[in-house]
Amino acid sequence: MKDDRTPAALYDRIREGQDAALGAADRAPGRERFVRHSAVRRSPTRARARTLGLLAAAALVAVLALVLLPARSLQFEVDGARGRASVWMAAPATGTSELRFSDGTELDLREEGRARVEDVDARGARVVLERGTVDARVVHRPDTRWLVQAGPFDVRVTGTHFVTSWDPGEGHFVLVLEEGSVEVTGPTWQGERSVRAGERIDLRVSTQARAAVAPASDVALAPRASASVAPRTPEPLDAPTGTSPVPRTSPSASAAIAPDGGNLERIRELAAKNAHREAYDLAVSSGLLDAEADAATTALLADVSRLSGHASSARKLLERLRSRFPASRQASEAAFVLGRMDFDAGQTGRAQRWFSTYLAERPNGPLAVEARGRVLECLLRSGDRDAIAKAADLYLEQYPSGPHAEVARRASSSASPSSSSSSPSASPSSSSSPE
Amino acid sequence: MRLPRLAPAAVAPFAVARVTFVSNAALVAALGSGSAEAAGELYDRHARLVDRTLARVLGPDSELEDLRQDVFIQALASIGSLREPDALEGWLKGIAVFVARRAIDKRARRRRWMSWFSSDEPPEVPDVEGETRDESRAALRAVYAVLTRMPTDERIVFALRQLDGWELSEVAEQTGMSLATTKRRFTRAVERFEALARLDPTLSSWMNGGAR
Repeated sequence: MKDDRTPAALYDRIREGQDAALGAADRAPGRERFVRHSAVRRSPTRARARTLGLLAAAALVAVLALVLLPARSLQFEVDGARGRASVWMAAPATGTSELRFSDGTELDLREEGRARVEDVDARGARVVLERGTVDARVVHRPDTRWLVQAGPFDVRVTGTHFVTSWDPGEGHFVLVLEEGSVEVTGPTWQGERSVRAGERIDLRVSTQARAAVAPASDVALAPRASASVAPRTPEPLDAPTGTSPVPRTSPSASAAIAPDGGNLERIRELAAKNAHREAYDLAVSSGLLDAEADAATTALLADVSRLSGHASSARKLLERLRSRFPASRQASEAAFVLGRMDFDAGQTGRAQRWFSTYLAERPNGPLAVEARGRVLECLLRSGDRDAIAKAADLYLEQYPSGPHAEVARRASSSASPSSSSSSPSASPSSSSSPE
Repeated sequence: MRLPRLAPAAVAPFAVARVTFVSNAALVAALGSGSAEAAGELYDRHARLVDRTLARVLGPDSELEDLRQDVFIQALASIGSLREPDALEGWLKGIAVFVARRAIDKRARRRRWMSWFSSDEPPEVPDVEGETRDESRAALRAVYAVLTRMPTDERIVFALRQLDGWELSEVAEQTGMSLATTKRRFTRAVERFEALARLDPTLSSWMNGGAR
C-alpha cells in the first residue's frame, strides 16, 4: 500500500476532486451572459474608428514619453526575486541560477558558478563572472550594450547566444558562440577580437597576465554566498548551541549505516498513512531512534517524532542530522524545521538564528522565501526596531510580492529607527540582526 | 393545386434554429464575423476546458465564473489574431493561463492593500462525493495553500504540468517561455513544492510515501 501515497497519487487525487466538482458546475447562466455580450459588440465600423483613435492616442503618448521621459533602466530578477546590482549570486551545486532582464535577455549561471550584475542601465548591463559558466541569450536591439567580464576577458555583446566560463584557479577561459557575434578583449591579444557563431575560444592565461588585470575573483565576497561554492563560507549567524559551522567535508549522505530494513520499511509505511504515533513507537522499540542512519532515514525519523508530538526526540534527530551530514540538503532543512519548532515554542531568538542558518546555507533554497519571512516575524516579536526595519527592507527588496510582503511593508513603515523606544527583547539573544 | 392547411396542432408553435459549425475553421470564421451562434458554440465546446485550466492554476475559486467569462470575452476580442483555427483549443488554454496569472497578480495587490480584511486561505472547496471526501478536501486545500506561497511562474508551471498533465513544450508555448526556461522553472517548482509540502501535516505523508 506504500505506493498509494506518493506525490503522483496526490496529484491524481487533486485532479479527480477538481474534475468531479467542475462536472457538476452549472454553466448555463455564463453562456447566456457571454452570448448576450457577443451580440451587443460594437459594429465593425465603430470598432475600426475606435481602434484608429486608440492607435493615434497611443502614438501620441509614445512620442511624448520618448521626448519627456528619461530611458528607464532595465530591471532584473534572480531566481524570481528582484535582483540588486553589485550583489553576488551563487548557483547551487546542482542546478542553475536564472537572471532575467526586463528586455527579455536571459542569463543562466550554471552549477557552482558565481557572478554579479555590476551595472545596469536602459541599454544593457555589465555582468562580472567570478567563476563557473554562464549561458547568455542577449536580446538584440539597435542600441544594446552588454558586457560580460570573465576574469581578465571582456565579452562585448549586442545580441547573441553564447556560453562562457572562467576558472580563476586554472586561468581557464572558454567562449562558445551559438548565435551572432561578440567582441572579446583580453590579455592574450591586442585590441578586440571578433568571435562568430560556431566559433569557440578555449585558452589558459598565465599567472602574470591575470595579476596584471586584477581579476574579479579578488573582490571580497558578500556573506550571502552559497555554502556549496563559497571558498570562505560564512559561519551560521550565531548558530544555537549544538550546531557548528558547516565543514567542507562530511560523510556521504548515502554512505551511513543502514538500520534494520524491515522495521524501517514498516515505519515508512506507517508514516505514509499518517500513523506517526505507531511509527514512533516502532522506531523506539526497534532501537532505530538511537541507531546511526543515513540522512534520509534520520530525516524520516525526525518527521515521525515531530508529527507524533515527541519534540525532544525530533530535536535530537535534527541536530544529529546537522552534525553528521552538515553539507546535505536535509541538514539545511533541519535548520529550518528547528526554527519552526522554536518559533512555535515561543523561542523566537533561537528560531531567528535557525532561519538565518538556513539562509546562510541555502540562500537560493526552496525554503529561502519562507525563512526570510520567518526571520522578520521573529524580529517583530523581539521589538528590535532597527533590526526589524533592516529585515523588512531586505525582504521587500528580494521578494516584493512574497507571502510576507505586506507584513514587511507595515513593519518597514512603522519601525522607524529614529523613533526607537522599543521594549526589551522577548529573548535575551533575539536582538541579533538576521544579516 | 392548393395544399391543405396543416392543422395547428401538428405544427410546433415556433422552431428554434440551431447553427452548427462542422469545423474549427468554420467556427472561427463565424466568430470573426460577429455571429452570436458561433459564440454560443465556442462556449459549449470549450467552457469545461477553460474551467479546468483555471481551476488547476488557481484551485477552488469563488470567482471562477467571472474568470471564465473574461477568458471568452478576450478570446472573442482577439479572434482575429488566431492564425490556425485548429489551434483553437490550445489558444484558449493560453488565454485561460493568462487570465489566471492576472487574477493571481491582482489578488496579490489586493492583499497588499486590504490585508486587514482578506485572508490567504483558499475559499471553501466544493463537496466531492466518496468516502475519501474529507481527506481529499483537506489535501486540495493544503496543495493550493502551498502553491499560494510559491512564485507565480513556478506555481503556473507546476500546476499545468503536475496537476493537469501538460507537456512541458505546451507549457512553454502557452506561457511564452523558452522550453529550457520552462524546464528549469519546473524543476525548481517541484523542489520548492515538495520542500514546503514536507512541512505540512496534511501533505507530508504524501511526500514521504513511495519513491518519487
